[in-house]
Amino acid sequence: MAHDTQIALSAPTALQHTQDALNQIKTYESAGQLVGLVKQIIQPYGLESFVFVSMRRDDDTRESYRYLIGCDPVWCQHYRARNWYTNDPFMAHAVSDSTMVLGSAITTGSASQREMLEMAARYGFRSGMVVPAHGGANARIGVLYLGSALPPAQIESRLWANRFVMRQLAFELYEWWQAKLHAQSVLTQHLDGVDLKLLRDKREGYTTAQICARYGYSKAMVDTRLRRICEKLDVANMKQAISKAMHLDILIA
Amino acid sequence: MRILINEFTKAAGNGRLHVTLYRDDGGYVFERELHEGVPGSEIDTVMVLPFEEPEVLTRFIHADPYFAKAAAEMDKLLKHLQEDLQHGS
Repeated sequence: MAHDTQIALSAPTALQHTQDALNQIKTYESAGQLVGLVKQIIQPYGLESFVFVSMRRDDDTRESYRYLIGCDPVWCQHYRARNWYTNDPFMAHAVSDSTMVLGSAITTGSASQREMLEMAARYGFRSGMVVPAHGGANARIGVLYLGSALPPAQIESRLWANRFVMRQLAFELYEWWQAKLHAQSVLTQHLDGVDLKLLRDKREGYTTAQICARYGYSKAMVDTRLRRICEKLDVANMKQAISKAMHLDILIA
Repeated sequence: MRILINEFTKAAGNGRLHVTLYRDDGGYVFERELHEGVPGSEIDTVMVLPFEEPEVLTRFIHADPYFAKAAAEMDKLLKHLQEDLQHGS
């Protein structure tokens, strides 16, 4: 594998390999392949784990978080279940400041924050770096968490020396997510067979209850599907969704 | 190319949990979408977990705070994964 051979290569050659890998990110469509590539990029720097968060806070009424998991996933369940995202000192830094920061530079002010860091260490984030990726006003904020099981003294100087690689990685991931979100609004690629089936049935006048009975779906699943169809089509309701779908000829059987 | 293996939606407290499992370019991806809150105060959380070994997904699911409420659906999803692993490889 490329990352195994980089150790023996000269520094400029290794850097070129990293650069080539970074340039490939935007060409990846599969999240699985992307996570594999990111791990190849970070491993030569002593890092084993990462999480990339794309977040948006629209005033105080709506928040959206998307996590791409490249670490022990149980950590993400603990993080979310305990609502640590509300007082995560790294997240707080990333929201207000676009500079990268090493793990040891973050101070914890509460018992909850200390508990969070202790648990993070158990799941591969004993040391590391946080790299914000800001896309401008009203845009999502990206936060790349990079982690290592090594103690800070053994890795942080190397991370800081290569911080520009990490910054580029964060922005490449940010743009990858943005492109993915944008593509989700391109309806023909993202309305799958079930979506089209529901749209056709709605056009024919079936009620949600009738659709549930017809296919054995739960009401909750159909409601979620219909809501997501409206989101994908960027319309306010199902009537507009059917109209737009018909206008675009995507309901032709 | 994505191939849907299983998905379900379950009421979860003040919100809704929707999970999707699909095969994508030879690997598997599990997406967990949690919509919480009420209009005016809503939080959407999407976790995307690519994996190759089914044990990774099992650990993730068992650590889910909503696992107890959706145990039957989760077990069914894992069963579909096992079937796909047997037939897909």
